[in-house]
Amino acid sequence: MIRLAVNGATEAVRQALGSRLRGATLQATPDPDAAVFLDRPDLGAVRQLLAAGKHVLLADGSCPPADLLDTLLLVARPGGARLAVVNPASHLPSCQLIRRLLAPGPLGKPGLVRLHRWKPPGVPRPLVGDLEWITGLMGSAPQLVYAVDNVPAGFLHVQLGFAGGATALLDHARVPAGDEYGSLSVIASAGAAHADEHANVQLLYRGGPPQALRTGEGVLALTSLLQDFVEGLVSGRDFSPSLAGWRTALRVDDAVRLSLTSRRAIPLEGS
Amino acid sequence: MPPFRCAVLGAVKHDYVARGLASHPRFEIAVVADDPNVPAWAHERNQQFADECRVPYVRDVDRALREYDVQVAIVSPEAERHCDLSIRAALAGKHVVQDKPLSTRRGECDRLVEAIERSGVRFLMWNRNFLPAVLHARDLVSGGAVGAVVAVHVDFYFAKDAGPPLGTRRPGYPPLSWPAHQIAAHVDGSDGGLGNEPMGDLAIEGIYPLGYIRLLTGAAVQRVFARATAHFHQLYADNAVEDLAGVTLEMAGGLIGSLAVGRIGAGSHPSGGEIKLHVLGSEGALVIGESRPEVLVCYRDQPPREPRQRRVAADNDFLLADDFARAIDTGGETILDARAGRHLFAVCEAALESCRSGQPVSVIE
Repeated sequence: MIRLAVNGATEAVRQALGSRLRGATLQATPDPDAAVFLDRPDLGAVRQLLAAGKHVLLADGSCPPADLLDTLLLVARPGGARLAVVNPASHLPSCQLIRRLLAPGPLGKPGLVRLHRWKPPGVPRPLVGDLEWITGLMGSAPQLVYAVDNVPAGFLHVQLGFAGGATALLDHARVPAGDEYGSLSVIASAGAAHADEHANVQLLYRGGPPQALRTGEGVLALTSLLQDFVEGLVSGRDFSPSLAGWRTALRVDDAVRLSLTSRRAIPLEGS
Repeated sequence: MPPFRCAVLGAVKHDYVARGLASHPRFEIAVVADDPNVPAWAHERNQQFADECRVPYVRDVDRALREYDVQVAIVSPEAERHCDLSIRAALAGKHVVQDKPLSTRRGECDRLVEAIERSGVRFLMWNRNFLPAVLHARDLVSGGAVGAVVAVHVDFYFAKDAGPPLGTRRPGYPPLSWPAHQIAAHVDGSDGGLGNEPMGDLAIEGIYPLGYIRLLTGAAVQRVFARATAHFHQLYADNAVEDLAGVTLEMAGGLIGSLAVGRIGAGSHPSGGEIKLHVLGSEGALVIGESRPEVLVCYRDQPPREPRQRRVAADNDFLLADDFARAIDTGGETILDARAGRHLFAVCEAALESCRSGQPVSVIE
């Protein structure tokens, strides 16, 4: 039984996860076998854990910069600790469904991915996580990156060009406190899938215009990613291949910044 | 007040433009006309439409405009003839309603704008800006519901086929003929850019989402970055035009927009397509389903291609005609006039140039 220390989860989430996980227990012990960071990690603490031979899962939707990632892997190696960086978005039931249906599934090969990510002020929305998600859905690295923004309005729009003219469009926007919206469309060669919160809202009537309330996807995404991590630890799986997608996303992230300053489309070398 | 008499100049592509205008009591179809040298299939369609409307079919456009006491020309021939017929009608002093796309060439668009403005006639490019959900979005935005608009995004995926899927042409077989397919596809309404010149769906359908953005913001597009591909249909690949495109728009006043446009195949949506507007403002945001209001209809043995979600209360045709009548009465502008149509053409043209160059391209005004 693997003892997991989970950081960044509310008590309710912790309880829900604890009752669902197989082969692991969630503990607030100072000496866990592995640590999971669901919120932005203290990378100094991560380094110490890895150096002490503790496995680490980073799952806040982001990834440390490439040089820091290399350092953490080096620190982990002597003690046999393993580092995994997992995008919680890719474990959402909606996303997993779409992934399953893409080629060789019935939807076919993706030609256009469209992602809207709107968050209120103060809520982190790491771009690199969505870039990793999109490139994972497309199944390849982009060749071209173009971005425009409106900094005062908190708005960023990114377009990625893939081989053969395929493309992805992503926008990050700020919405008023208390609001949030996400929408993913995948247009593939034999079909299309839309995971759009617009289709998953309920109406609350309390006088005046009704309020739209989202029915979320619950703790299944967290359960899935933790279970996968635990099973990977038990089976001795090598987590490093999963880092390749993050390294691509980090390069795209750099290209986004370069595009914003140059107002040019940036070719991604080696893609 | 007597209705405006209309000459239908080419009913070969979308007779829905003529039907739409005639749905308004201020308009009546008086004659169908076309040039004598158009192909036999075009004459046949024109004749059928004339017979249905119980009006003459005249194989001489100029004579029809001259002799049938018409005030309005409704233009829907092959795409490359759009501007020519519209210009001739305008120079004859007729108000013009024209099908999309405005043209296949920017020079023709420029000639059209010049002819319309010199003649002082009204011009309406047929569009979807009066759909109930689009009007709802317009009212919310103009009423300040989201504050100042920062960005607008339109997803415009329409679920139509266009012949066999990509990758189905056997080795040694010739490429599919664009005009032959479009002529044949008219039977089930899946024809796209009717004409001799192949046209992708950004060039043909892009006017609709661009029209929404123009309606909501009033802002001109200044710079465009785009990627496009033939992703679904062999016909499009064989003719080197796009059936799927993503476009980034940089607009006046720092506004940002984007489009995702695709002819995504009939099997890709249960009800004709997924079309949405996303509007981000300084004080809030809107997500609008363009097909709403709609009714879900499902029943035993339902034909697979029959839409499950049925659009209802769509009053677009009447409202476009009403807008056109008002413009004629008052001398005001229509909701999408020739100059606006020319701008939308230039945006699509810049987008296609961006696809070729891999860089953002300025829109030529």
